[in-house]
Amino acid sequence: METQSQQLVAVIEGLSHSFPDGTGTISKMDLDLLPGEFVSLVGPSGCGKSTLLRLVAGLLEPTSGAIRRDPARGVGFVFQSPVLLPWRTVADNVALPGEISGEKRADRRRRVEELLELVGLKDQARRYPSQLSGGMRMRVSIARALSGRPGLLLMDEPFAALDDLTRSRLQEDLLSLRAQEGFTTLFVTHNVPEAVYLSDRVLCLSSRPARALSQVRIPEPTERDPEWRTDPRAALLAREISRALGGRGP
Amino acid sequence: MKRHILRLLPPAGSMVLFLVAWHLAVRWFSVPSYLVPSPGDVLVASWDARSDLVPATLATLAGAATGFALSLVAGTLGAILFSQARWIRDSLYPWAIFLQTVPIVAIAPLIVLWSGPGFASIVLVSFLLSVFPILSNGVEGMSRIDPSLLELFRLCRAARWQELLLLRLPHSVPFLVAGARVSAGLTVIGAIVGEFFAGYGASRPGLGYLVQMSAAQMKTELLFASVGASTFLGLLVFLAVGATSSLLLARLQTPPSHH
Repeated sequence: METQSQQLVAVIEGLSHSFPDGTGTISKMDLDLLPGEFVSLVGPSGCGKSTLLRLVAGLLEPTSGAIRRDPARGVGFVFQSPVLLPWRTVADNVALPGEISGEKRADRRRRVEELLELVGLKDQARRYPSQLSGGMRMRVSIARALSGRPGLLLMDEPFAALDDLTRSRLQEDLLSLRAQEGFTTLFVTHNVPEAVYLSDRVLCLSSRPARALSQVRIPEPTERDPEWRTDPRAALLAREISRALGGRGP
Repeated sequence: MKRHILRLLPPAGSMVLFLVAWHLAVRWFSVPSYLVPSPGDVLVASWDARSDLVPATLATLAGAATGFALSLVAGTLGAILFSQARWIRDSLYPWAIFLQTVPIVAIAPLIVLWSGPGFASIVLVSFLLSVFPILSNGVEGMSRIDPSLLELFRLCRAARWQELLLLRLPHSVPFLVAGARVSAGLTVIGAIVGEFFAGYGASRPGLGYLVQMSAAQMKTELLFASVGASTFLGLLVFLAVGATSSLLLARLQTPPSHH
């Protein structure tokens, strides 16, 4: 039992959270995250998905239950909006976490170059966030979250504000980033097709306080490509998730 | 450049019209010059008194500039202090607001009483009048930060000084600059008010002292000339600070006022 839990990236056990005024946000949640896994949390808006991410990140304290994370590797967090520093260039925004942790300047520069290459922003390194499109800003935000080589990437509806085309591009790029960097992802969305496209597992949550209603595994295909978006099996899985959430299917 | 000149034309035109109307009104109604001198008289008086006016303008500028520099430093330091602990801000900021509501004319005599007539009192009055816009804008800039940005810094385990240096301070620069623009106008007014009360002790009389003296001696042309010089000085300082702040903001690449 002990050895098994040490292989996991994060273990959430009997987790409950409520705000000081008594409103419950999360009720008795259990979740294990395996290395390299992509897990989506899907549920009605305002159900406590974002709170769950903040609990895992350590930004909030659980009311009861426990979260155990591999202490050797940090977490990266991608917010709903890019939250970049407007007075810093793209490269300096990506370098920020390393600068705060006191990483050596040369190491930092190398990592920033590598990440900007990976997210396709090598030529934008010296531009400022105000000169970028919404999709590019989100790429900068993702690069920044990955700068400390986190074992776990937490994403809070990162693509919700983007147009459909940009969103599809970023979804595909996220999957190739994950293939290259090997991080585990906990992804919050209320977009069911998005969850089906990206995830290995989708956890369907109830409205507040959030409970796990059911879990849908998406075992295949292991290599996701745009064809999977229109695959009949994907449509069936999306319908299953929507049913679990209490809807009548897409 | 051509557009700038074109934009200056309408106000310059109305100015000329006003001066002509003033001149004609004084002539036609034969207003005595100790009540309203004609623009020509004022110009002649200004030229005759240039050996008083120019040093007086420079003396007032020195007082205003020192008061402004103090306001910039103290306002920024105050805002930093208030951003560091809620209890400091809660217990001191209301008093800063209270200080701003006290009429400066009412406490100027007290300042002179405590720090004596002369430069120090003039600077202090100028400082007290101009510090608040910088302080209040600085407090806004240090505290009105996107909560997600603060979460980001917490996730990176940023120390308090890192959060101040890398987030709060740069975030508050546009706010501080906006405060400095307001403050620049006030600082000249403050120096002149200071000179009204403490100018007699200064080694060189400033414009405020000149206004007072010429009014007392019924030298109305000189009074007009001093008021003109004061306005000119205020405008000059305002434009200088405006140009500096525009340059600074352009340098910092901060997107235009989304605040």
